[in-house]
Order: sequence, then structure tokens, then C-alpha cells
Amino acid sequence: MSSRFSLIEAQVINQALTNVALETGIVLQRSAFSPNIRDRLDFSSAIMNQDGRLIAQAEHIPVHLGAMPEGLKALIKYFGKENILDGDIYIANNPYLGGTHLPDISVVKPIFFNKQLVGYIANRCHHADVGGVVPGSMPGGKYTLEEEGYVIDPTILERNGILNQVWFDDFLSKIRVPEERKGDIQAQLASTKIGEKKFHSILRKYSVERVNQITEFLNERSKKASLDLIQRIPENLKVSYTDYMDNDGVKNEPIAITAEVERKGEKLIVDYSKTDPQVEGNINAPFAVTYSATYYILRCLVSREYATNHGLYEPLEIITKEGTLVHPFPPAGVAAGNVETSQRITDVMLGTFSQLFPNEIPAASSGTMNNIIIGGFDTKGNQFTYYETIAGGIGAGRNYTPPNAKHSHMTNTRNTSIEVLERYYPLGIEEYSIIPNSGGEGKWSGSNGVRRVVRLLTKEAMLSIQSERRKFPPFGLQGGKDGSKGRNILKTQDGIIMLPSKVTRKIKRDETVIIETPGGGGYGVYSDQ
Amino acid sequence: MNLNNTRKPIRIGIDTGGTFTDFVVVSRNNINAWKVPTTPEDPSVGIIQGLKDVMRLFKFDKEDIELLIHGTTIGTNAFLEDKCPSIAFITTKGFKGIIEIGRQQRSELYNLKFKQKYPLSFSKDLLFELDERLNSNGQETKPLEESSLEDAVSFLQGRSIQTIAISLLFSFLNPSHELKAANYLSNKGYNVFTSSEISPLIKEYERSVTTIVNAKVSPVVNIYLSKLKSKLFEEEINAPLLMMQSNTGMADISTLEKAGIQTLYSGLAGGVLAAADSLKHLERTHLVSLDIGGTSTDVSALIDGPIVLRSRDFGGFPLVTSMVDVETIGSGGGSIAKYKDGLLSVGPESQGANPGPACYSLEGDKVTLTDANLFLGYVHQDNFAGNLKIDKEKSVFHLNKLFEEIKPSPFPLEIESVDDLAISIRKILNNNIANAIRVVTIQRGLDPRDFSLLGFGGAGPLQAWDIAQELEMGGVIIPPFPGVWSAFGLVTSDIKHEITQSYLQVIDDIDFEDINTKFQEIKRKLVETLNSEEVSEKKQTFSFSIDMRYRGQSDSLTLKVSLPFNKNQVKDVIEEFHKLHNQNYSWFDKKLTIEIVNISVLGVGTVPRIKLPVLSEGSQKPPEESCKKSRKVNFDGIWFDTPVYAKSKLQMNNVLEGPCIIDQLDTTTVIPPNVQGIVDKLGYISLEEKK
Repeated sequence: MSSRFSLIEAQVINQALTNVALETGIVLQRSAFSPNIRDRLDFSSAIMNQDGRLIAQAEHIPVHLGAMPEGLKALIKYFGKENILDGDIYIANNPYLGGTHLPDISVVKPIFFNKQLVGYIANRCHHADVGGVVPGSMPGGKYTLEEEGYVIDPTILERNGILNQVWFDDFLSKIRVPEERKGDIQAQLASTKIGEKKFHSILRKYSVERVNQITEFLNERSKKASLDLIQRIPENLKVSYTDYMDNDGVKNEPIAITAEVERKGEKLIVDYSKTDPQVEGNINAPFAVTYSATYYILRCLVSREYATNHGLYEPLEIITKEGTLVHPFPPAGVAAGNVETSQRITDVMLGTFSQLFPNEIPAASSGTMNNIIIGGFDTKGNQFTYYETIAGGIGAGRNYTPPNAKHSHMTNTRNTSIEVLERYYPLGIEEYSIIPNSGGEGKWSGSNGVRRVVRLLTKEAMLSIQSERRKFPPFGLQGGKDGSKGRNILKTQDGIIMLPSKVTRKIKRDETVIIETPGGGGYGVYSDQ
Repeated sequence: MNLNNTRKPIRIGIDTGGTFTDFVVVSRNNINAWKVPTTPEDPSVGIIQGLKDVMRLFKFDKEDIELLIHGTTIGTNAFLEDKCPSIAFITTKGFKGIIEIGRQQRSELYNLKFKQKYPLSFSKDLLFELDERLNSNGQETKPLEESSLEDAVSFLQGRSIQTIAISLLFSFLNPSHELKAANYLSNKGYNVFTSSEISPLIKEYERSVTTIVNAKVSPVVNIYLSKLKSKLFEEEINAPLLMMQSNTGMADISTLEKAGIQTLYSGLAGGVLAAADSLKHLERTHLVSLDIGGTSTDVSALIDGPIVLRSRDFGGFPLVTSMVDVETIGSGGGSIAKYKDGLLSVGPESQGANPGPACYSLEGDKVTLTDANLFLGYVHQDNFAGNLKIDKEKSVFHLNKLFEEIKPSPFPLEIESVDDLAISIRKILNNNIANAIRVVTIQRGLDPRDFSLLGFGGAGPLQAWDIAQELEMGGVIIPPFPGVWSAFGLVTSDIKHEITQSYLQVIDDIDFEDINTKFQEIKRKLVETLNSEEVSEKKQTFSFSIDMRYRGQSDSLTLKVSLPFNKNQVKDVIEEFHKLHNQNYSWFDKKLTIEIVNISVLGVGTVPRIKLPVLSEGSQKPPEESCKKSRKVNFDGIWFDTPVYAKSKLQMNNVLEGPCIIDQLDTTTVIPPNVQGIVDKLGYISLEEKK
């Protein structure tokens, strides 16, 4: 085959590879069981090349963005490349081996063509429960990784069509609702097999060489777009920004995340070394999460016309120091690193990049996913676990007045319908509204957060809240005011109790939990004219 | 509606599109077609003009018309362009934010300045809360006081609002609060729409959006229809006027007064119905309809008939009402070819009809698909729709210009000539359309290889073969009148109404008496509607279905049942459900609990079928007079001297050997080398590879 190729082939192969990622994702979504995958779309699927570098991805959740290739890299290193065999399917969730937090389980299948390793198909899903001391496997406070849930080091889940029953049985025996997990993991397995078939049919049609040539072309194209962007930054201009986590849920002390950004030639260096040390509470962010949050900002600034692949991120060099909040040592707990700390890392990126691209970068959005978990037994004695994340305000930007009450940056999961929620859980929703004037004022004002009021309708339950921006508000930019802070309130017979950012406690019948989420920061100086 | 006492029964399908209003005039053994420019300000002006034209041209009187069937996009456009009158949205206290919060998802993942769309305009429309509440069993926990309604009226007074949408929590279980509010407000002179009437289904956001869209669209549709009706009356055209609905059934205009939402896909349903008619005629079960127009392409999969969904996304909004499953993409004859950083793309930007493709000589300076097709000889300047001056030189000029942009590319590209470029433009557009077909097949769990492709619309017969190859589809078929096939679809349907209602119940705990009563209640409503449309009892048929899922799932599957629904039937239905689940999602589990989610009744008023004219019988060899011309056409880089056939001269059984071109009215069919087309008795041409 000639080394020349047609534009059409490039277009068609690009689309075909993206379709493989998309279609395997759809198969997964449709056959999965847990609401998190089916309804809230908390999963991603991707294709990597033989070196484990990203070719195409169908992601619904930005926090999975960088995590997939990092996960695969760790997996290849763990087994050794020579031990990756045709017919294998692997499973893993260890945050210290390329994972994010334990509920996110990855299934990976190496793809061989004519006995040659040509790539990998992988997917990653947030499972509703993977064991541990608290239902939902996302406790808040002082927990080690082992306490958070079942840790899966890279493991052979299937070899030559034979399931690793010993491991699977052990896993299912140590978690809650095993039927659901079984179904979800089966769906993940099936999806990689379907992906393999589709990938093979592309290779048959165009040949391995041609597909490689074109993915390289698409990589170069995305890389060039990234370079064009970062070359707008003068060399040797170092900018830095620090923002704070309210606390780690154990000690009531802020934790600083600092990034320094500088361009050196064709590299953009993002250095997190000055970030505070890791903490006792489980808000530590495994470096795969840190990578995702950093990649995210670049993905936002480069036009979507350029494919998401490793070329896009190649000009980025991320430096982290081991033992810090953004690159912890095991066995520190990490459950909330993925959902909360990831948002603050994004904010720090906004803070630094706003100094480089003031017109493109908006003020901070709510900066938290406002995780709320209520679990216990309903009036008929059935166990229930209600988990939800609640949207907040969005940061304003130049010529941009944002919409109210939306999820921002690292997440975009849906809410649960009030009618569905009330029918299936012993809970009553008394209010679900937009909080007026909670966005920061500015020439362009930030948008408003949300108030959700939940009443418990059964004898008692455990309430768990993982939230942020209750102490430090989302920042405004270019003279715009900060957004309002969020609040967690419990109304009992005896009165009103202000709850901290992170809390796990018992609640009783007819007590109401009020969550008020933060508003977005304003942009530019407000004036009456 | 009386269809018997006309001398020369003529049925007319009127399809108002963006550029043209198409007319299909059907009488016994004869079909005629006509196009007039659409009059966007008031489409009824163009319709009356067109009706006068066709009566004169095809020589019949107004008394000869037995039925007018109309497909319109008036409500769709008004909604999408935010031109509907303002409304008030009333909901339960504490929840007026539900429309703005939506599902709390932002519209784009990687845009730091994303924009969000809403079914309401928060600057023009009003929101109001009623102090009332039902619990999750539909029981009242807080009554709806008269004073709360008085507050509503004083809030609305003095503001220019006439229309109200009401959606209260749990009204799908107990509509009493909604009805009380609706009565009160109707008595005050407001036009009120309730969610329990429009879409009595669980999930407040989706139900509310559906109610709002209906309240927005209905007044627009009604004003338009009454205008059209009175113009017809002035012209003394007294034939009944039926509207095409999103569910692919017709409805009398009076039933749409409260259900304007049913016209959202009115303009798209025609193409799908025409394909459904083809399906029957061709005795096939699987067909994908491909309607390529000037600015957009509609594709739809049919299995034994149109696929009608219970809910679907419409312009970014989740609507829960029966709508045909059509995928529309912005690719058509006017799609613009653009080169950027090593990649060539075609569309979604379009030149539309004005300025149109470069060759239209209307100051269009962008290369479009039509320009590429003209350059390659697929279409010819003498066979275009409308009275346009086609200038091929302009196409050549702008193609050359685009080629010059691509030439210095640092990448080793295979575009070495303008020929290559024009071919590439076709291929990219075909790939875009193939992706849309993937959406309606693969993403629905269907295999495109099981389907034939029916290509119509202005550009469908030009692209269909190549698109089918891309998806390895089982053959291509071109219908007898591809240019107006969508309008033809309008005259092939029945009257149809469907009501779906939430009915949440684990299947082992069914109260048979209750579920049968509910079915009968819905049926009674449908009988009333059909009676009001003067459908005689003999012509009314009803079918019943339930939506089921494994408890804990969110998607459900629809299964047919018959009345009375009883214990014996349940066993079969459960079996059938496991089977269907396996088909759709590749797994099933008999140990899991199954629950019913909705019950649904479809009421149909049958309308007599029409027959297409039959061609005279010929031999394999087409008659000599059918091929008087030839022209140079480029297939895959090679220029062929290609014979051009006149469709009107072809006979049944003729075999057309590729490469060849078939010209008719305003469409051109292309048969590539190695492919042959076989003409059947109604003028369908089936394309297949030469043996």
C-alpha cells in the first residue's frame, strides 16, 4: 500500500474509531444495571494504540479523561508488556495503579490482529458499591484505602474465554448487592469484546499500517493545535495560583493546592510541587485525577474540531511531588479526591490560565459536586442507599453570562427525578430551587446555585455529605465578585444545626437536610451603567 | 368524513417544506406532482396558490377533491425559533426551578462558556407556584386552596398572557389538583394545558417540558390552521382537511386544538410513511428511508412499518409523546465543503436555496455537494428543480479555488486534481449520512446489513448507492417519484391517536380488574376522539400495549396485549419480555422481578388505500426511445460516456446496465458501473450488483 492516503480515509477512519468507542459505550450503558451507569452516565470507553496511547475516547465524565491512558500505562507496567496475551481481559481499580477511586472499575482488553498486539479497548464505570465500611464506598473522613472498599490490583478477569471465577467469587462475597455488580461487570466485559470485533473490522478494511498512519496523522494534527495555543504564551513567564480545600473532613484546616505554569520551548510545564502534603481525610487525589483535571483545561481551550488523543496532551508536562495532596502515597484514602479535590485542581488551573488567557478563562464555578448519601432501612425494613450530586452556579467570563444551576468541569451527571426519588426512597423533597443572587456580581455575573431540601420519612438513616466551598467561595476574576459559599443545614425538632463541609451522622424521622450549593464567580468590575 | 360520494375522487397531499411546498395529486390510476415556493410568513398563501395551479394543470374541480392531507413545520419552526406567544407555567410550590435546573447537565462538556437552551424564555414567560402537594402514592398531603388560585389570577392579570401550562408533582397518579386549577383558570378565560392530559407519565421535568412545548405550539398551529381553513372556505374547497401527526397518523384539525405538539414531526412523517408504503409494495420487512433535500437529510429505519417512539429528544428537549424515529442532519445539496488544517469537511453549514450552491448564480461563492455533482456529470444543468439559471462554469471556478487551497498541504494527500476533490466531497457527505443511518440502526441495536436503502428527495437517488456500500446494506431502491415521495407519503396513512399512561406495578401483583378498567377508560377517550372525527365505528380499531422492565432498570420495552388482560396472557407476555430483552440488550434473567411501567392504547381510523399506476410491460432491454442522450460522468476517477434514460419512457422489466443516468421531473438517479437497475411494474428501480 502506498504511503499516501486520502483525506477521506482520514475522515472515515477517524469517525470509525470514535464510533467504536461510542458504540461500545452504548452497549455498556444499555445492558448495565446500576443507575449510575444507566441513568447518570458515569462511565467512559476508549481505544488506545499498542503503546497504550489514546487514539479515541467516548467520555461522559471529564474526570475520566486522563485516567484511562494512565490506568493502562500502570497495567502494562504491572504485568510486563511481554505477558499481555491475546484472549486476556483485565480488571483493576487501584487508585495507586492508575485508578481514580475504588468505585471506578476499569476493564481492559488487549487487541491482537494477525498475532500482533495492535491496541487496547478499555472502559471505566462508577459502580454504586464496592464494599468497604460504608454503603456506596465513598465515606467521608479518616479512612484508608482498604476501609473505603475492595481494592483490585490489575487482575486477569478472563483468559481465553474462561472467567477467573476464584477472583470473581471473592470480589462478589465482599461487596453489597453482588447481583448488580455481577451484571455490571458482565456488561463491561461484553462491551470490550464487541469493541474488539468492531476494531478488527476496521483493521481488515484498511490494514494495520494504514490505521496507524492515520491515527498518527490525527495525533500530529491535534498536537499542532495544542502547540499553536501554548505558543501564544511568552517563554520564561512563570505564573502561579493557589486555592484551598475547606478541610479534609478530619481536621478543620484549609489545604493549599498550588500550581506554577511556564512554557519552555514546545512544552508547557504545570508544576504542582508546592501543594500541601497529603492528609488524613480521604480527599487525596491520585495523580491520574490530577492529570485529568489538568488535561481538561487544555481540552477546553483547543477547538473540538481536533480529536481527543495523546497528541493533544503531548505538549503538557505535569510535575507532581509524591506525598502531596495531588499525588499521595498509599494507603491514604482517596474516595473524595476524585469528586471534590479534582474540582479544586481545575479551579487552580483556571486561576493560572486566566493570567495567560484572560479573555478565554471564566471565573470559578461552584467547585464541588455536593455529594449527598442517605442510607438505611425504609418503613418496610428494606435497605436503601440514595446517592446524588447537586449542581451549582457557573463562573462568568468575558461576554459570558452563564446559565444557573448546572454541573461544572469534572462532572456532568444527571439528577434523580423528584417523583422517582420519592417513590423509591423514604424521602420527601420539599424544595428544589435556584437561590437568587448567589452568583458573584460582575460586569458579567456568575450564575446561581441550588437549594435542595430533603425530609427523612423513615425512623432513622445515615447521612453523609462530601462538599466543598463552604468556607472559601468560588473566586471572581478581573474585578468580579466571588460567588456565594454553599451551606449544609440540618433542621431538627430542637432547631437548626449548621453542618460542616464533610459530615457523616445519623438523622431521624422528619428531620430535614438543606443543601445550598455555591454560586459562580463574577467577571469584570460591576457598574450601574 | 365521508369518502364515498365523489365523482372523481382526488386526494391531495400538501407538504410545506423550507423552500418548496410540494403537492401530490392522486386520482384513480394517476399521480401528479407540483411544487410552488413556500410563503414563510403565511404558508396558507402558497397552499391556496398551489391548489389553484394543480386544479388548472391537472384539470379537475374543487368538488372532485375528497381529501386534503397536510404536513406542516409551522409549529416546529415557531418553537425552535422562539416565536411562540408567551405562556405561564404553573407548578407545585418549591419547584418552579425545575425547568431551569433541568437534569442539571450542561450542554457541552468542554466549553468553558457553554450556552443552555430552555423550553421557556425566562424573560418573557411567567412562572408561578401553587401551594399544594400530593405524595408519591398520589394522596393529598396539602390541599389546593381557592385562595392560591386567586393569587395566580391576580399574578397573571394585566400581563399579556393567554396560555397556561400546568404541571404539578404526582399529577400522573392523581390529576384532581391539576383539573381543579385548570377549571378555575379556564373559567377566567385562559387557554389551559395540563400535564395529566398531555403526558400522564412519571418524571416531573420531562412531563413539564412536554406540557410547555404543547402549550407553546398549540396556539401557533391553531391560528395557522384556522387561517388555512377559512381560506379554503373562501375558495369553496370543502373537502375535509386532515393533518399529519408526529405519530405517523392523521388527525382532524379540531383534535389538534389541545395537542399542537402532535404536529412537531408533521413535516417529517410524510417521508417515513411513503417508505412504509414502499415496504408493503416491495414485500420487504426492513427498509431505511433516506430523504436528502437541499439543506437537510432525514433518515429513518422501518421494520414492518415506521418505528414510533414513546419519547424522544427534540431540539435538546426530552418529549414524552409518540413520535416517529427520524434522525435529521444538516447535510444536503447545499452543504458547504471546507478545508482546514489538513482535513476536508462538508456541512453542516449550508448555502440553502439562497444564495445556494455556486452554480445557482445567486452570488453563492462556496463549493457545495450540488456543485460537485454537477461537475462530475451526475446532474445536468437542464434537469434542476425550480426556474434557476444554472451555471456550471461557476462550480468549476470555485472547485478550482478550493483545490488551490488544499494543494500546498504538508500531508501526503491523495487529492491531486479537481476530479479527486469533487469525488472527495461526495464521499465525505456520504460518510456523514452513513453515520446518521448508524444512529437509527446500530445505536438502536439493529444491523444495517439487514436493511435495504430507499433513496428519495432531490439528492437521494444520486447518493444512495454509495451510502449503502459504506454500510454494506442489502440493496438500494429508488421509488417511482423520488422528488415528491415525501408528499406522497401523506396520502397513504390512517387516522391515529395514542394515549400512554403511567401504571407502576410489579407484574406478580397485578390487579386485573383495575388494569382492564384503566385500559377501557383510555379506549373510551379514543372512541370519543375518533367519533368526533366522523370515523365510523366499523373503521375504528384499537390495540393495547404495556411497557415493562426488570425492576430497577430505567428503560422499558413495549409488548402488545389483548383485552381482557388476564392471568393466562401474563405468562406469555413475560416469556416474550425476556426474549425481547435478550434481542435488545443481549442478556435476560428469568429470576429478576418484572414491573409494568405504562399502559397504552392506540386507536386507528382506517382510510382506504390508494393504488399507484402500473407501467406497461416491456422486455429486459429498455425501449429505444427511452435513451436519446448521453453525457460524460465521472465514476471513481474515470470519465465514462454515460447513456441518459428518460424515466417516463421506461417499462416494467427493463434492466438498466450501469453506468447510466435516469432523468425524471426534478430528480436524477445514478447507476454506477458494475451495477444494474431493474424497473418493476410501479416504476420502482432496484439497484443491485451486476452478476
